[in-house]
Amino acid sequence: MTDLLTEIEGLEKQFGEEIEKLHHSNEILHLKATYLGKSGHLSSILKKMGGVSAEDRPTIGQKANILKGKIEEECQRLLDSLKRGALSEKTEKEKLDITLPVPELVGYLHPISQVRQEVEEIFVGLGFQVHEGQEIESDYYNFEALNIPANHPARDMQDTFYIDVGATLRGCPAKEGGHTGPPLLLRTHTSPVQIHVMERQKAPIAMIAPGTVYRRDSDASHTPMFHQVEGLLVDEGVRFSDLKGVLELFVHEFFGKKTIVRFRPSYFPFTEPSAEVDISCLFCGGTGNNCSVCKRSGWLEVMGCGMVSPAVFKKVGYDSRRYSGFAFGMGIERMAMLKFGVNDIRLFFENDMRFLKQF
Amino acid sequence: MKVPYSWLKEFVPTRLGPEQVAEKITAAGFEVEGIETIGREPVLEIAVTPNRGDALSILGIAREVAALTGVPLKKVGAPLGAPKKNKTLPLQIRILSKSDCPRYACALVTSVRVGPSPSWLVDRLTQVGLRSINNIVDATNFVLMERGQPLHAFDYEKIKGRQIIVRKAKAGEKLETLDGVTRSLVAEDLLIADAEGGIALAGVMGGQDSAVSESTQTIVLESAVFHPATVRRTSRRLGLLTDSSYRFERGVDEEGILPALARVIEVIGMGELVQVIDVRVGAGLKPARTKKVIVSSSAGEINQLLGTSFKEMEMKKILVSLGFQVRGAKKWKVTAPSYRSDISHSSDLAEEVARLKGYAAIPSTLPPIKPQRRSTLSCEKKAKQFLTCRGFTESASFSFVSPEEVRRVDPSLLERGISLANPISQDLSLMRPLLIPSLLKGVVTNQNHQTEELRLFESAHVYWREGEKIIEKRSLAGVLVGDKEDFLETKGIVQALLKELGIRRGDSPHEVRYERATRPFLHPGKSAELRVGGTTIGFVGTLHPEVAATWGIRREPAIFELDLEFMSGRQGEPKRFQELPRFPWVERDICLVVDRGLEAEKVESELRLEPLPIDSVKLFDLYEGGQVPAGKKSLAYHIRYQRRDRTLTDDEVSGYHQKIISHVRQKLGAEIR
Repeated sequence: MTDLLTEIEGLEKQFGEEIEKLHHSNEILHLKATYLGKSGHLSSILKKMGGVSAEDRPTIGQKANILKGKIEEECQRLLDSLKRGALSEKTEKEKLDITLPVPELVGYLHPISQVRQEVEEIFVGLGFQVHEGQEIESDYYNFEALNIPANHPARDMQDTFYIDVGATLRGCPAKEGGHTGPPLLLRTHTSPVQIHVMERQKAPIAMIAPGTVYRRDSDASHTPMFHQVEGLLVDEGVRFSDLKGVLELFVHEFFGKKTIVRFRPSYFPFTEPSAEVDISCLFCGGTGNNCSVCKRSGWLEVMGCGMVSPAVFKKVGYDSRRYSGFAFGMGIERMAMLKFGVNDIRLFFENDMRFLKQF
Repeated sequence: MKVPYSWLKEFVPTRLGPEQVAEKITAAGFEVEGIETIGREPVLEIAVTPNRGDALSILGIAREVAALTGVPLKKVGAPLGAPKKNKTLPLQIRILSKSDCPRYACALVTSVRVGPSPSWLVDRLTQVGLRSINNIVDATNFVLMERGQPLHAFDYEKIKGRQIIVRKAKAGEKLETLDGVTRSLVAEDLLIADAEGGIALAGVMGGQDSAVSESTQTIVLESAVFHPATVRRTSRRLGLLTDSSYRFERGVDEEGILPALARVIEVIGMGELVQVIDVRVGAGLKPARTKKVIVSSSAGEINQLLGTSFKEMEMKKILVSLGFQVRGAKKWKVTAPSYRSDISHSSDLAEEVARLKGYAAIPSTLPPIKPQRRSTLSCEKKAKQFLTCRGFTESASFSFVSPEEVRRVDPSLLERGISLANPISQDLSLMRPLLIPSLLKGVVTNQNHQTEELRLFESAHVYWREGEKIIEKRSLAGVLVGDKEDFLETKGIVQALLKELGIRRGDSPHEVRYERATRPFLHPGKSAELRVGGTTIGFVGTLHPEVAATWGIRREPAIFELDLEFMSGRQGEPKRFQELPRFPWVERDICLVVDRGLEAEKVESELRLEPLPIDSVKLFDLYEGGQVPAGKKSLAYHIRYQRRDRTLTDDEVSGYHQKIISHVRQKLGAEIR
């Protein structure tokens, strides 16, 4: 019996020595077979069990099993570690310079659109609906219905482009009996949308109307085309204080909570009372110190607004004793210039990628 | 308007300095745009809104300052003296156009000597930006600035027939105005005439022939009210904006007419007043009551509109301080002062209360907003998002373009073009019928800054005329400038965009089909019209090389333009779930050699042979040249066969595939490889 035990112990020692020299998985598999195979070392030892007494057999069997487990385990451990090594070699080989430059397929939304979307989102969140209108308008919707009659000095506030309705295009003879109706023009503000919407639907109304408008004006702070967002809320019991609350909330969302809002009396023919909305200058923090943006006043004019004039309600057939409302309008370019610090409005319409890429 | 501080203080002796006054009146709606020092005088530059013609004078601003500070307004100037007896000179006033001239007064002053003005007068005029002319004209200008009442001085000796007639001009009638220009008049102009012809353009400018000169001894001082619209029309038409027309347009105070005459005589300070004639239309020569506007209002109504809880007494006090009369408790009858022609409704009174309290005194509240229908993500917004994700940058261009730019793209568009009657310049005179020219301009701009490869898009309105009708629609256009063949890539982008907007490619009336385009600005071989049902919804193609050359574009951009309004009207088909296939597909390839001119769409539709269980047909190779004979092309497709109820056997699939092969051989004359 002792002989067999000694043999098993010897085998174990021998295995330990042999496996240490191996570095490839097929050698390990081969070694495993030489020990554990049908005619392997361990089997040859166990074949000698016939000459062992019955009481010793369990002890030897146990020993042999332990060795078998150990060999299997050791071989597997080594195989696993070789596999891991191979994988890490592969990933090591595949290592890239992750700081390499890559092509960026990215387009930019125009800053005017970005501001427009932000304004829309704020008001839509408050429950306002978005409406759009046509840019070629009649004198009635652009002026008359908004309480700006012909030959009224309020018309000086906006210099208007008129459509050549005589069809007198260069190289094109004027048509016989051409357009004889009232003049058509390019809307000077988005306010006509107020009238269209009130004509179409009954109160309550909560709407905004973003869009393109035109005035005959051109210099570093004026382009003949620009964009506005109009707003209108009409319901029973709408008050000037509501106008203040809504616009203050808007300014805080758009320009930040710290911005101070000031309402100053002004005049628009279609609102009464009317106000100009000023915000504390974003560039000098409202101090006015040597600030060219606010011209040292500490304030920036951002919006016009007011309570809808009874004269406008009358035009659209709303009962001004029952309903009241407020309206406001803001220039999108102006908001974008303030928000992004752009100093020349003409840049918005030059379509220079060096400019557009910045937003 | 310029307001010298010390002149203002003659009317309101306030202790506030110029800056403090500026702050107060700015908060009350008269924005002080700056304080300038002229000589040693601080002069406030005040922006007066068009509704407040009454404030276009020192007196007008003084009334506001008095109400704001509580300092009472001082009476400045003597009342009109009695004319000298027994000295009347003949002068007849006749008003023929009564609606244009509600009131006309004048004073005859003899024994004046025309000469330079005293220095105090010259200084005052300098402070408000006026040049001194002579003592008589300067006095009228001084009173205009001080009272807001435009005045005019005629030389009595030059008034023919000793009569002043206020009448409409005859068409073509001529008048040389004080600026030395001979004006040709139209029938709507209001004229101050004598027996022979015009002596002044009413409310706008005096005539040269009747002007005061060094030899003048007797003057007629005119102080009148002309209809705002009448004055405005003439002033606009002639491009003649004067201090006088500016004030008449905004309305002058009928009750200020005689005090203004008194003041101008006082300022002239010489001569003898021999006669005052005051014509009030509709009442002959007898004084008529000025029509007063009475507004119904109440404290409750004003507080309701403002969202405030101001006290009734407080409100009344404010209105009274501004010259209003308030009668009645609870329910008010409010009479506005004669100079406040802007007041007609309770909301006007609310504004008066609010601006004197200061808008800061009104609280901020949030209104309950009733639930609205949800605004869906507009088609435009979706398209913009899609295109920016595909590397396109949004551009924005003026809606008016140069007709030449449109001509260079498609001259036929000019015939239907809409032009501006008063463009800024010829280059900005045509409302664009297509967005493409603006995008090409963008390509050129960037090319000039060494950016050749570019993806731009624009979403805006386009305009044209159909008969008498004006069409205005939202359009979406794009341009792609790359370094290789861009047409197919651009077509792919457009196709995916249309899918995003609910329009798939296909043959049904709701799907989009590609047809060869014939637009003059597109490459005839590489361009397609997009058609849905019978409607063209846009195009995609390579810019014609000749057009690219006329624009100076070095590469050949691919362009597209779509009628976005067409897409907005569509909902897209409702989405329905389809059971997922449980059995595998089997794929077979087919490679055909066909005529080069045969379109892929035709080949594909023949490959989808009915009623075989074909799941998809996909082109994976297109080859011309080399082993393919001239005039032919080789097309290779993967065809996937699949049934939804069971797995196909190999034999079945081979049978189907063979059927397709013989079909296309016969139908398309295809050679199978």
